[in-house]
Amino acid sequence: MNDSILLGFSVALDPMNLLAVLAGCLLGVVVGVLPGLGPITTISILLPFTYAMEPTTAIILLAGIYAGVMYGGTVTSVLLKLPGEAASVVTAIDGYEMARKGRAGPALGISAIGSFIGATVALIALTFFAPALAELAVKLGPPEYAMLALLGLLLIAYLGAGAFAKAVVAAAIGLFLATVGLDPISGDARFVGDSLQLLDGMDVVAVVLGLFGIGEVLFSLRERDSEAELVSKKVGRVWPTKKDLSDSAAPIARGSVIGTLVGLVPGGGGLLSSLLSYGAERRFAKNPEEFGKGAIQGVAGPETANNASSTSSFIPLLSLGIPFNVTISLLFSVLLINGITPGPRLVTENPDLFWGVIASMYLGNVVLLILSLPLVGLLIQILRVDMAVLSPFIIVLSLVGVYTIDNNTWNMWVALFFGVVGYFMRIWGFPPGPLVLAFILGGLLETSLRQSLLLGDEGFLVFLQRPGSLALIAVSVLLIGASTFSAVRKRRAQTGAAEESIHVGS
Amino acid sequence: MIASRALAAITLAAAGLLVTSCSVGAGPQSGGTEADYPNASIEAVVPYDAGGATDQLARTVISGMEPELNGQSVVVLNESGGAGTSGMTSVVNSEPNGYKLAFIAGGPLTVQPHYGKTSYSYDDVTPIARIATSPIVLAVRADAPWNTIQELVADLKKNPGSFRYASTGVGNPASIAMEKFDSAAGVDTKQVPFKSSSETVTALLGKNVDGAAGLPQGFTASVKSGDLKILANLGSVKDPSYEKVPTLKESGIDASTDLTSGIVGPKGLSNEVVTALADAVQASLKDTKVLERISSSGAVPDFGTGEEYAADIKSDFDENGIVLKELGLIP
Repeated sequence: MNDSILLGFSVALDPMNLLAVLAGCLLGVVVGVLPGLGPITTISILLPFTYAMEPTTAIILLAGIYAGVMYGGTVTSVLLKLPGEAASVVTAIDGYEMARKGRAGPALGISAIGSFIGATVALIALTFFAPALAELAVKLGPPEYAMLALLGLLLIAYLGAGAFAKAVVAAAIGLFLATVGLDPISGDARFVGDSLQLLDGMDVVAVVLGLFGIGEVLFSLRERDSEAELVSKKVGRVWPTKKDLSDSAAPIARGSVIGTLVGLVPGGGGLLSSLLSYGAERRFAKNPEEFGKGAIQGVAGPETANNASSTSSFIPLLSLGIPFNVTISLLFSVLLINGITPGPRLVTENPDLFWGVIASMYLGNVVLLILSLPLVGLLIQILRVDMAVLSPFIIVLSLVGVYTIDNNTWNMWVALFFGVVGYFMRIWGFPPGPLVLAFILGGLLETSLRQSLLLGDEGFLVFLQRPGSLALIAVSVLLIGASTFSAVRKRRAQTGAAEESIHVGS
Repeated sequence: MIASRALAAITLAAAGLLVTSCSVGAGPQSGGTEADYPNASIEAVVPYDAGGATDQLARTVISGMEPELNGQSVVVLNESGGAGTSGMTSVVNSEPNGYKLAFIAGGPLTVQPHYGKTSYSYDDVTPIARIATSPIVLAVRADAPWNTIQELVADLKKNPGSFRYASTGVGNPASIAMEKFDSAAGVDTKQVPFKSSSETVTALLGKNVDGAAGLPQGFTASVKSGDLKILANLGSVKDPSYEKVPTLKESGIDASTDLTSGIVGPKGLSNEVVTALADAVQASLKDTKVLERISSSGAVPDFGTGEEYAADIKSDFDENGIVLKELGLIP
C-alpha cells in the first residue's frame, strides 16, 4: 500500500501532471463562480482537447476542475445568493444570510475548511476502499453488472431532482438512444437507416456536450440579467471564530460521512449530498429556528458533503468501472478513448494512472484550500464577464472540440441537435441528467443482460442462481416496495386531508 | 447593451476565424510531378481511435518511414467511426495522388463491405504494403484442466457445448477464428461477446467464461502474472513471447486466422507512388527500434509488397464472407 501511494505521488509530481492539478483547480474555481457553468458543461467542453494528453494527465486535469467547481460555487452562493453551480444551492440560504450580517468571511472560511476535511475523508476512503472493492469486483460477472445497472437506473429516477415522471421520460429516451447502433451481441444494425455513422451508436461526448454545454448556454441567454447585488465588496476576516469552529465541528464530521456515502450511490452527486446534509443539520441542531437566518451549521455541513461526494464518486469509477453520475461518466469516456477500459483491473493494469490520479487529488485538495480564500476578491470580478461575450465562445469551442473526436463534421451535428433538445428540455422542465445516465447505463444493462443469458443454460434463472445478483435484485425490490408504499401513504394522507377540508368547508 | 452586442459579434467573428484556420491543412503543392513524390506532407488516416492497437502500429511504422520520404512528414489523422468504415470511405473517395492513405487492420476492407452498407468494396483501393501480421490466440485460466488444444477438443467431444469463450464482438477476427476452429475440429463452442479485450480478460479471470479469444497483446500482462495461459495459436505466425504454443495446423486442425495490417490508398495510385511508399515501409521495418516496438505489442513484423497485400485482402474477404454467412450475419 505504501509503495502504491509513493508511486502515485511520483506520478502526480511529474511537472506536466502538477501543472494539470493547478490548472484544473484554478479553472474549476473560476467556472464554479460563473452561474450556469457547472462541472459537466466545463468538462464536456474541455474533453475533446484532452485527447492529445496522456490519459493520466487528462484525468488529473478534469478531476481538478471537478473539485475546484465545488469550491468556486460557494463564493457566489454566499455573496450573491446566486449558486455558481447546483451543489451550492443550499449554501445560498444560510451563507447569504451570514453575508448580510457582515459575516461573509467566516462563511467562506468554514466552507473551505469543511470542503478540505470532507474531501480528505473521501480520499482516504478512496485510497483504502477502492483497491479492495476492485479485488472483489473481478469476481462480478455480467449478471451482477446487469443488476447493478438496473439498480442504478431505479435510483436515478427515484433520487432525481424535479418531477419523477419527467425524470422517467428523460431516462426512457436515454435508454432508447443507447440501443441505436450495432447490437452488442448479434452485431445487427439497429435504428441506423443508411447512416454508417450511426453504426457505432451516438457518441457520449457529443450528446453530453450538446445537452449540457450548448443547451445550457442557449438557456442561460434566455434569462434576464439577474438582479442580485453584491452584499459587500469586502469579505473581511475569513478565519472563523472559536465559537464558529466548535459549532461547525459536528456538521463537518456528519457532512463528511454523508457526502462520502452519497458519492457511492448511483445518481447521487453534489446536490443530493448537500440537501441530505442540510436536512440532517436542521434535525440535529440545538437551534433549528436559526436555520435560514444565517446558521453556520447550514453552511459547514452541506459544503463539506458536496466535496466529499464529488471525491468518493471516483470509487465506483476506478474500482467497478461504472460511472454513477454525469461528471464521472465524462471521465469514463476519457479513459475509453485512450484505450483504457475502466474496471476492476485498472489498479493492476494501470497502477500509475490509478494511484497517480488519487495522489493528485490529495495535492489538488491542498492547493484549493490555500488558493481559494485569498482569491475570493479577484473571483468576484469574474462575474462582470458578460454572458453575451462568453456564450458564442463556448459554443464555438464546443463545436471545435466535438469535431476533433474523430475529425468529422458528423458529431458537430449530433451536438447541435442535442443542444436544441437540451434547450427545450430545460424549458419544459425535463432534467437532462437522467437522460445521459440512462444512455450510459442502458448500454451496460443491455450488454450484460444479454451476456448473462448466454452464460446460463436456463435463461433468466441465472440471475437468481448467483448470490451477488440475487442480493442486488433484493435491494431493487425493496426500493420499489418502499417507494410505492410511501407514495400510497402520502396519497392517502392527501386525500384524507382534502376530505377533511371539504368537511370543514361545508 | 450596444457595446456588449458589438463585443459579442467580435467574439463570434474571432472564434469563427479560429475554426476556419484550423481546417486549412497542408495539401500537396500543385505542379509537382510524380517523380519528386512526395513534395508535401502526407495524411495517414487511421480509421480507429487514437491509442488503439492499429494507431500505435501506424505511428511506430511512420516514425521509421519519414526519413525515407524526402524529409516530408506523415501526419496521423484518427478518423474513427462506423467500425473503421468512416475513415476508409474518406480515403477511398480522395484524389489518388499519394497524399492521403489509410493504415488499417482488415475489418474495414475484409468484413464491413459484406454488410452492404459501405459505398466501396474490398477492391476499391490500391494496396501499398503489408506491415505486420498478428495471430488470434485462445487463452484460458492457468489452472484450467487442458494443457493442449487436443485435450480441449477431446473434452468438448465428450461434453458438447460446455465451453464458453469471450470474444471482442460478433464478426470480429476473434469470433471468426473460433468459428473456423469449431468447424475444422468438429466441436461446438459458445461465444459471449464483450466490448474490449480488457473486458474479456476480466470475464475469464472472474470465472464467468472458460476461455477468451483475441490478439496476443490483450493477454500479455495476465500471462506474465501467471493467471492465464495461451492454449492455442489460432493463426499462422509466432512471436517469441508465445512461440512454444503450437498453431492449430501444427496440432492437426486445419484452420488459421491472422489479422494483417497494412497501408492502402485510393484506387488508381501510380506505380511510382506505391513503390516509394512500400520502400519506405520496408526501410522502417529494418529499424531495430521500430521492430522492438511492434513485437512488444505481440504482432509480428511482416513486410509484404502491394501485390502480396492485395492477395491477403482478397482471401480474407472471401473467407470472412463464408464465416459471416454461417453465423447468419449476412444473407
